[in-house]
Parts: sequence; structure tokens; C-alpha cells
Amino acid sequence: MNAKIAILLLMGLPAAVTAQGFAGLGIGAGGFAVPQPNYQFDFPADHGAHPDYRIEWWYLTANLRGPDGTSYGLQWTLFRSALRPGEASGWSSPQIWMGHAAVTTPDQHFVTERLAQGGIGQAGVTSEPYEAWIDDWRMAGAADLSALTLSASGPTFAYEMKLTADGPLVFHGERGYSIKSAEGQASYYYSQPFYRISGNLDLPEGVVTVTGDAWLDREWSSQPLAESQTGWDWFSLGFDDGARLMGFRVRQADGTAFSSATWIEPDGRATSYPDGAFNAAPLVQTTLPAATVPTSWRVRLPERGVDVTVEALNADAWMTTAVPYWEGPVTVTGSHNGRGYLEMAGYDTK
Amino acid sequence: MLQVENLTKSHPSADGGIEVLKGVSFSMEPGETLALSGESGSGKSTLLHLIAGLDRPDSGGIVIDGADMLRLDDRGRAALRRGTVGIVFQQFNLIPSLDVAANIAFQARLADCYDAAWVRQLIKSIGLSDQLDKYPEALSGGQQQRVAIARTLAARPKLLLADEPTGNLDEDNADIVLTLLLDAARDAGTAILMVTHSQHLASRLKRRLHLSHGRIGG
Amino acid sequence: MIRTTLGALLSHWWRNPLQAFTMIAGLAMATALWSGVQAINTEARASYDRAASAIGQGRFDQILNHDGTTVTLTQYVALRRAGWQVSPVIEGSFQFGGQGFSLTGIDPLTLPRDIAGGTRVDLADLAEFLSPEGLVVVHPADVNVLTALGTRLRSDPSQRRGHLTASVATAQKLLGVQEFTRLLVANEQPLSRPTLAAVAPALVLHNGQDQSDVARLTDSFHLNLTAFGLLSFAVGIFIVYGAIGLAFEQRRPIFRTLRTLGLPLVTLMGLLAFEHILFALIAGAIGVALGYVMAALLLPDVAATLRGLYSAEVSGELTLRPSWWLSGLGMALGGTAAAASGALWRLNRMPLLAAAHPRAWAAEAQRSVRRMLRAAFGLGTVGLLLAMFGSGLNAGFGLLACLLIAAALALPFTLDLMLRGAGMLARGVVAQWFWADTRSQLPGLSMALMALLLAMAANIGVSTMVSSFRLTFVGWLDQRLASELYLSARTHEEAAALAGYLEGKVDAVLPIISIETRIGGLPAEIYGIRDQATYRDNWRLLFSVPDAWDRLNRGEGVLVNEQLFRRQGLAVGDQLPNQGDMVLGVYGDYGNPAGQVVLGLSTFRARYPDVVAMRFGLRTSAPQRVAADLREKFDLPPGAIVDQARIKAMSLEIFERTFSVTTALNILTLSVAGFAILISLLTLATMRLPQLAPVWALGMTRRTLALLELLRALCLAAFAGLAAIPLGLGLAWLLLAIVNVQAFGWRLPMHLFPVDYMKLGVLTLLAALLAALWPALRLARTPPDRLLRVFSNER
Repeated sequence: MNAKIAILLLMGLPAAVTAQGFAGLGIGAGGFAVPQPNYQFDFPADHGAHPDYRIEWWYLTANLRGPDGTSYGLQWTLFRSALRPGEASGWSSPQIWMGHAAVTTPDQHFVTERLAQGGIGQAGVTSEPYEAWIDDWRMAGAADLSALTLSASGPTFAYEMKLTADGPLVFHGERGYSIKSAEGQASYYYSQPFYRISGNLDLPEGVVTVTGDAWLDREWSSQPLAESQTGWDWFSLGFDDGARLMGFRVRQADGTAFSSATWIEPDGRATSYPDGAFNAAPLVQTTLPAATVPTSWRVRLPERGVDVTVEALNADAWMTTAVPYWEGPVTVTGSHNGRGYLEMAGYDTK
Repeated sequence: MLQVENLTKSHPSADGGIEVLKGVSFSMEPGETLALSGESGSGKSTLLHLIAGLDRPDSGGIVIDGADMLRLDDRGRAALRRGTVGIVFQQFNLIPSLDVAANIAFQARLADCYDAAWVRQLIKSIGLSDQLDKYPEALSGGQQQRVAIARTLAARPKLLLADEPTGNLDEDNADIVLTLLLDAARDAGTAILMVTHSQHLASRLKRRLHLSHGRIGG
Repeated sequence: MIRTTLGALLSHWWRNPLQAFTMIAGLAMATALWSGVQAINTEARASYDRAASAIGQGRFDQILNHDGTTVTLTQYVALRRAGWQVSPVIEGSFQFGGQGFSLTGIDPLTLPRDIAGGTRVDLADLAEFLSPEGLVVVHPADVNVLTALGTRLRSDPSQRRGHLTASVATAQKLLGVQEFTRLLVANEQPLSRPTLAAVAPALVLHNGQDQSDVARLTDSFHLNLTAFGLLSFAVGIFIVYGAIGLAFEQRRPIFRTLRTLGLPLVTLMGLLAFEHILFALIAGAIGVALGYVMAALLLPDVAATLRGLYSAEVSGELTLRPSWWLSGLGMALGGTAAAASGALWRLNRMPLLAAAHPRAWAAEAQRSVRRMLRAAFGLGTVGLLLAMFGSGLNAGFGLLACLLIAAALALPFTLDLMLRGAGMLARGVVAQWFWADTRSQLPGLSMALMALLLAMAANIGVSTMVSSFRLTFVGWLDQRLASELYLSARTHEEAAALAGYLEGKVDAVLPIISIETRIGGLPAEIYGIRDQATYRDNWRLLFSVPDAWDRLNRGEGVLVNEQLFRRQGLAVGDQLPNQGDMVLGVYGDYGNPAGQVVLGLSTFRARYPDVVAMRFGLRTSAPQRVAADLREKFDLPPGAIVDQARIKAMSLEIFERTFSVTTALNILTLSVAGFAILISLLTLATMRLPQLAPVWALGMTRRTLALLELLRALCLAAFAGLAAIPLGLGLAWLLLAIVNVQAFGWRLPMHLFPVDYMKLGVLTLLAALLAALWPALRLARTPPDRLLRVFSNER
């Protein structure tokens, strides 16, 4: 067993929930801080790392279009996972960092990953000035995240992007306190869903200049899932009228799901919906080498009149990272039209 | 008991083949003793081997105890040799790695008809009681041939074929061994077909046939 | 019926324990030889793989500080942040509990994914591995001593003894150092990244392939072992065949008796097959155990050889790999099956009445000699076709196999011819009888003699190969390490200062100056050399034009190494594809995978004015003094001055070890073949009494008969030996000129060692003599009454 897999298990990705090695993560917090309701966010400090919490991520996805109209998807993620609470300098740091980067085209999916220990400067996040990095990958810019540059590279692809925010930060759940299960597992969760993005994709076919929309998720916690939860399906959709929808369902071992959603007006006003309001049902299953995943969904939020079909741009957007999952761009048709990103975790049975 | 019908057999040789048997016919009754004599090369042994199923004739028929020898395969012929027909050779053909007792019991065990009382009686009548735990190499030629005879008769064959059984023995020993053979065969109800070139020995059997140049003569 | 018969069949072995012993021993020894060589082979191969995949050895490029000091954390992080996928390694050693340990500190997060070997960190251990108290991975045998180390211990049998693996933080703590010994460069790198010089100017990149010069030589050593495995297999098969075949002949009369008593042929064959499987399993198990012992005894030498070659620790312990003990049992079963099926087939075809008379047997054997000769011709033809139309390593090995087996199969015929010739030359009745009788013995001995032939040929072939290899390699060392001292400078300034300082203090300063390029699409190096006697005296040109050295120095052409020469299909006088330089000569460059071109120094400087020599060869009669002087004046790091005598001594030591393994295997093979002769003679001895008794009766003493028996064994062995020499040399030639070229791209010159062959011949005769001694003694002591009995009842 590769060392890297162990780290990913500790990351608390839903895929890991089913694995034996996950024991202890959702239960006692082991000295880690635990999210509390009515938290007062402190910016720009909260854009940075929270080493007292077990896990945290800076998660950026983008829907892009090339000069010939071809659609592309882009992912840039930095995960932080703590072996023990707190930070120490040098090689004794308990913080482990992991980067995932991907570019999805209608018929190809490029993935690469990086790992680093904290404390030595190889990876980390600072809030003033804002910079999140691992190796040569960077997401950096204004302390309020209103303007960023983004870069990543792998053996087969690379990208350089510029982002500008067109709206305010959006807080999920109760003012950023997002509940993940009926037992009350929760995280701090906010987003910047209003980025306009442009830049160059360096692909094997050549360099493509692209523009589009991007969505940044920030989330940290110490006990993200209940023991009975096996994975999740997470949607971030942008509609042509400027409204946006974040919705997820955390799947339970008994076949039911715990759902949550945030409706975002074009001006950034957000409404949170509790368990049951948001509904997503698989329409088409696709069998990939590693797992069978639903790549077409019927997604509904009746209270907003949303009843749409969400379809993967490229069904094979499997992340062949050490712990695998599905992450890729989607198109939206039905009551609303638009584009977005879909993440599905916990489907691989190996 | 035994019907031999117009048997022919030739051995391959450099110039085409030598006809050894040129149409031999005779028959034997149960319990009958028959001496087959003839000079060297007259085909005596070949005839015996054909009857024992050790070799196949070119033409003709052999029926033993109702069984048509020529229609049997190797398995069938082997079964016939195990139970119905016994053979005693000039060279004894004992199994050197088995002691006398095991050699005597061997064929009866092979035929699955071992009768301890009968074997004891045989051993006594051929006078080998004190040699049972010896190995063949420690026995004299006469003793070895007695073991071979006992081995064959232990399975109570209906027909015993003997190929110069005393050929390797001196005259006195030959007489003793033949007497034992005839007595034991009588007790077992076994018919004997014995090949010998000795007129003296032949005279001790009931019937005599003379083979000359591949044909039955006087 | 079955029990009775089986009892009778097995009673034979019970009553003849010597025959049982020889058959089992023959089978067991053949299996032992095969499985022992197999064990060494698999273990050696596994060791190569371990060594090659151990950190940084061979496969990964490495980054080091140019002055031989350590790499700092700042440099490491700067490289990572520039996109370089590198991983830090700390190496060091420390004393604990009165023992020395070497420790490697690694970063499991950045360690290249495709690394293998003893540096894995288990899933369950990761949190512990990176914990403040630390986790040290140790060999189980080291656990006790290290209990008081103060870290957690994880025992792992794949860890080498005395070697520990820990995290960077733990290694820093245990070794008391902060910085890294080196950085491993992952094979997979991002699309683009700045040059090393732009990020960390003080660091230098070492190509992982640089070290494969030596790895190539190791491969060649491995090829030796493979060839030996093949040969031992052939020898083993013949011995098994001989042992089984003879055991069959001995019992043929019993089989006939059993059948006349009414045992069906099918049952008899089934029981014999069962009996042989039983024997094969028993003998195979014994053989595998013997092979294990043999391998365990030889393996430390093999491990030492590899350790020397790799300068990397290789385990000298033997692991019980199913692959080899299964192959050992398979060899015993397969050999028995091959031998027994032939015998059973003959039994099946044998007419019930065909007497076990030697004459009938001889006729049958005569037919089989002709059959074998036909098979030999067939195999020879296949070999010829392979030689003409085949290519690649497998064809080479196929050719080898064809040659060997064809030669073995042709042996009975050849020997028969030789004996017939000797018989015609013989004068006197005893001599004539001797030769005729020896000829009649041949069928019974031919399998054992074939085994002896193969054993001897294998010995000659492999020794010739190893010795040629050694001579060539030493010659190459002389050529390549002609200078007494080698000097490396850290900077251009230092290089200039050193060169200036040395002017006049040594006999010659030879700059070692080269660039890397590609010729015909393949990597190649171009060197510039100074016109100096060192090169003319030490470099042996395989092919050249007249006055090659003068013309080289006048800039009229280049020298190329053999690899480039063969790869490009060049001829002397041809022009090189790139620059159009004329090929003036070709030199042997053993072990180097890359092509090489040598220019005169002035031509090189004119063509590549930017390249500065950083390394120098120094010719001097007082290397120690010069080295000490340089170290004092220039504060040079330890690796900057290399004493070539040390390197040479080290390389030669490696070959001595290779030799000791080869010699041990040679002796073993020969003893096994000798044993096969013993078996055959013992078996024949009992059958021979009827043949010898008349001669005895005619007035020859038992003593004389026994002496003649000895002489006969010697003659047969000598004849087989004579046949083995051309076969062995052919074998060596195939290994050196075909297999080696296919495997490595260079041809080893073949050297002949007549004295060695003579020694081997004496050894073979000795083996035959020893084998014949016992049967002869038994014959000399045969009681007269046993001989007499031949007349009383056998006829």
C-alpha cells in the first residue's frame, strides 16, 4: 500500500468513509476544534488555513469555452489534512497538503496530483497577501479574493488563468454553518461563485485560449460525515439568468440521502434550504474502468421551480488520483439552462 | 479342455521367414497328461508359447476351456494365464526379490484365488517346508524349479504348460521333480502339456505327440 | 492383484538397496544441481531488481551539491516551487548498542511513485511515520538491539539488515544533521520547468543512467548464470534419463515373468508409472533440499559479487521461492516422465518372448544409436536454420540448446566410431576383446557419458567465457584507467588553477573533456583526447586504418567505440552520419550502452570552444605524493581525487568472486556426471558377470579383469572428454560472439586457456576413475562360485 493512499484516507474524502482506515475521523475530534453555529467569520484571516481543524479545502472549478466554441472544464484544489491539531515549523509539522488539478474536454480528461508536508514552505496558504500553493501551483491575489491568478502543471497539461469576482461571497447553511447529517455533523462553508475567468490551457493538442465562469468553495471541519454516510453528490450550477444553485446529497448506507441547497440570486442574495428541499435522482449510469457512476441527473428544487436535467460534458471525468472520485463539468437543460460542475464521491467499490 | 486347430506360425528372418508350424492340430481332455517331443527347432516351444497366449499364430485356432484364445486381447489372455493356464519354464523365472513363500503364493494372489491350506499341502508335497524364508539365489536349480511348479499349481490351473521343466537339472533331480509335478497336478486335477526332448521323461506321461518339421508325426 | 504386483516391484528395491540408492541419488543430484543453480539465479535476479530499484541506484536521476556537500531545505523547496519533482534523501550512519547502522531518511509524500524496494511506508504506519516520536523501519533481526532507540520500530523482513528507513524528521534527529544528502528526481516531470542552474546554481544533476555501465556488466554476469542454469538442466536431464533407463533394463526379466504369470500389460505400465512418480517425488524433494543447501553455501559469494558491482547492499540470505522449488520438483518429475515414457514405450513394444539376452538388447541399442544420430542431425539442422535466419537473444539461446543436445545425441555414434577404430588398430587377442567388449558396453553407458560430455562442455564453455570476460575487462580497465590519478574540479576557476599548478609536477595532465549528443538518433558522447603516449600504449584498437593515431591527432578523422560501430553498421574508413568524420579505428568499450566518438583535442576545442575540462587524468610515478600535495594545497573534497589502483583492485576482486562461484559450480557439475558413470557401471556390473565369467574361465584373473574395467572407464571418459573440448569451445564462442552481442551490443574477444582445459581433463579422468573404482573392486572380489554359477544356471 502506497503511503499516499494513507494520507488520502485521512483527508476524509467520502470515498474513504467506506474504508476501514477511516475509523475515528467522524467520532471523537481528537483535540481538534469543532465547527459551532453562529460563527463570526474574520476576513481575510479565514481565507487562510485553520490548522486546528482536521480538514480544509480551497476548491475551484470553472466552465470554459475556447475560441471555436468547444467547452472545457477546469479544476484546481488544495486539500489540507492534519495528523494532529496545530502547526509546527519544519519537518515536524503535522499538516499534510494535497493538490489536485484537472482539465476536462468533451473527449479527454487530464489529471495530476501533488503532495507535501507543511512547515517547510513547500505548500500552504497565507491570507495577507492571499496565496494558496503547493509546489509550482498557485492561487494568489487580492486579500478579499476579488482578483486572483491561478496556475497548475502536470506531465501532460498545464494552465495559467486570471479570475475576477463579479459578486459577493456567499455563505451556505446558517450563515456559513453547513449541516451534513441528521446527527448534526457540520462544517464551515462559504463560496465565491461569481468569478469571470480567462487564460490559456496548455494541452497536448496545443495552447487554447479560454474564457468562462468559475466557482470557489472554501470549507473546513473536523468531523465532516457521519459513520453511516457512504458518499456524496455535489452540484454547483450557474443558470443563464445569472442565478446559481449549490446542492448536495450525502448518501446514507440505508439508501436514503441527506440533502442541502443554497439558491443564489444574480446579486448574491442567498437562501438556504434544509434536508429534503433539494432533490437529485440519477437518470443514466455510465460504467468506467474503476466504477459505475450516474452521469446524467434529474435535479429539482421545487420551491424555486427548478426541474432540470444535468448531463456530464465528458462521462469519463474520473479522477485517477490516489483516492479516486468523479469530478467534471456538466450542462443544464430544462426549466433552467446553464452549466456547472458535478462531484461524485464514494462510488468506487475497490 | 484344449483344442488346437490347424495352427501355422512363421518367424521372420533375413530371407522372408521360416515356417515353424505348418498346420498343427490336437486336443486334450481335462486332467490328461501329454508329452510333446521333437528335435531342436521342430517348433515345440513355439507351439507352447502360442497356447500360453505369449505369441500369436499366423492362422488356426486355439480354444482353452471354452475360451477362444485368438479373440482375446492382452487383458483377456493375461486373465487366462492368471487363472486357467499355468506355465513352468526351463529357466524357472522366479522373482529374485521375493522369498520362497512369497514366490509360491504369488500367482495365486495375482489370480485372487489364494488357498492357504492347499498351498501348505503343496509345499509339503514338494518338500520345501524348511526353505520358505530363503531367496531364490540361495536355492539349487532343482529347488528353484520346485518353487516354480508350486507357484503355478498354487493357482490350481486347469492346464499346466511346461517347457523342458527339467532341462536344467541332472537326471536324478529331473526324475524327482517330474514325479512331484505329476503328483501335485493329479491332486489339483490339472492337465499337463509338457515339452521335452527326453524319451525317458516323455514315457512317464499318458499320451505322447511327436513334432517334426512343424507337423505332428508319430 | 495390484497390491501383490506392487509388492513384487518394490521388493526389488528392498532387496537391492544399492540400486535404489543410486537411482534416487542420481535423480536427487540432478534435481539439486538444477534447483541450486535456479535458486542462485532467481535470488540473484531478485537482488538485481532490489538493488536497481533501491533509492537512486540506476533508475532515478539525482541532484547533488556540486562540491559534494549537502543540499539545503531552501534549495529543495525552491526546486519544488519551480515545478521540479524531486524528493529529499538523508543518508548517514550511527552507532547504537555497539553496532553500526546505516539510516535513510525519506519523505514518503514526494517519494517517486514508481519507486520499489525497501522504502515503502505502510498505510497503518504513515501517521506514526510522521509522528514526533518517529517510526523506524528495521529488519526483524535488528529489532532487539534498537528497542532502546527512543522511536517506534516497525519490523519488516524486506528491509536489509543493519539498514534503517525513517522519515526526514526522524533521520535528522537520529543523525544530528539538518540537510539532505541528495535529491531524487522523479521520472515524471511537469510540462515545463526552469533549468536547474536557474533555480539552484550550486546543484548538479547526475544522470541515473550514468551508473548503468556497471549494471551492464552485472547483466553479463547474470547471463553467465542463466547459461549455467540451461547447461545444468541438460546435464540433469541426461542423468535422470540414464538412471531411469538403467533401472528399467535391470528389471526387464521381472517384467516378463510378471506378464507370463498373467499380469496385463496395462496394469504393469500403470504400476510402473506410479512407482516412478513416487521415486521422482522422493528424489525430487531430497534434491530440492540439497539444492537449497548448495545455493545457501554459494549465495554469499553471489551476493558479495553483486554488492561489489553495485556498491549496494544485497541480501545474502536465501528465501524459499516457490518458483524454484517447484521447478526443482518439476525437473525431477519431468525428467523421470521423459525417461520412463521412453522405457514404457519400449516395454509396450517389446514382444513378450524377446529374451533379456544381451544380444537382443545390443541390437535394440544399435537401432537407438541410429535413432539418436538422426535426432542429432535434425536438431543440428534446426540450429543451423536458427543461426542463419534467427536473430535476438532467444535465437541465440535456441542455437545453444540445439548445439548441446545434438552433440550429446551424436556422442554414442561418435564413440562407437572411435572404439571401432581403436579395435582395428589393436594387436593381440586381449586388446581386441577389450575394445569389442567396450563397444558392447557402450549402450549401457551412453547416457552417463552424454551427461559427462555436457558437464565437461559446460565447464569449458563457461570457464572460457568468464576468463575471457575477465581478461577483456582488465584490459579495458587498463585502457580506461590508464592514468594513475583522476582529478575532478568543482569550478572552472579551480580547474584552471589545478591545471596550472600541476604543469611540470606530473608527467602529463590529460584533460577529460566531452559533450553529450545524439548520433543516428541514439545517445552518444564525443571526447577530445590529447596526443599522448598513454592512449597509444593502452588503447587497443579492434580495427583501424594504418597510422590511425597520427591521423587522429592531425584531425583527419575519429575513433569510435564498438557499440556505435556495430549499431551504425560502419566500416573502417566510412564517414560518421553527423559530421562526416572518417572512422579511423574502433576500440572496445565494454559495458557502455552509449556510442562514443573520440576526436583529437585540438579538433574538439575548435569544434566546441565553450566546453571546459573539469576532470583530468594525471600520469605520475608518485601518485600518493601528488594526491597528498593536491589535497593540502586545494582543500579538495574526498571524492575529487581517485586512485585508479583502488578501482582496479576492487573490480578484480569482483571477478575473483565470480570465479569462485563458477569454479564451485564446475566441480559440482562434474561430480554429478561422475556419479552418473558410477551408477551406470554398478548397474552394468551385475549384468556383466555372464560376459566376464567365460573370460575368467579362459584364464584371466579377476584382478586383471578389474584393471581392464578401470581402464575401460578411463578410455570412455577420455574419448568423451576429447569430444567435449570442441563442443565446449563452440559453446563459449556462441556465448561470447552471438549471445553477448545480442544481449549487450558488444562482442567479447575469445581467449583460449589450454592449461585450464588440461586440468579439467585430468579432473574428468579422476571423476571417471573414482566412479569406476568401486565396481572394479567389487569385480576383483567377486567370489569364484558366483562366477561359476553363471555356468550352472544362467545359461
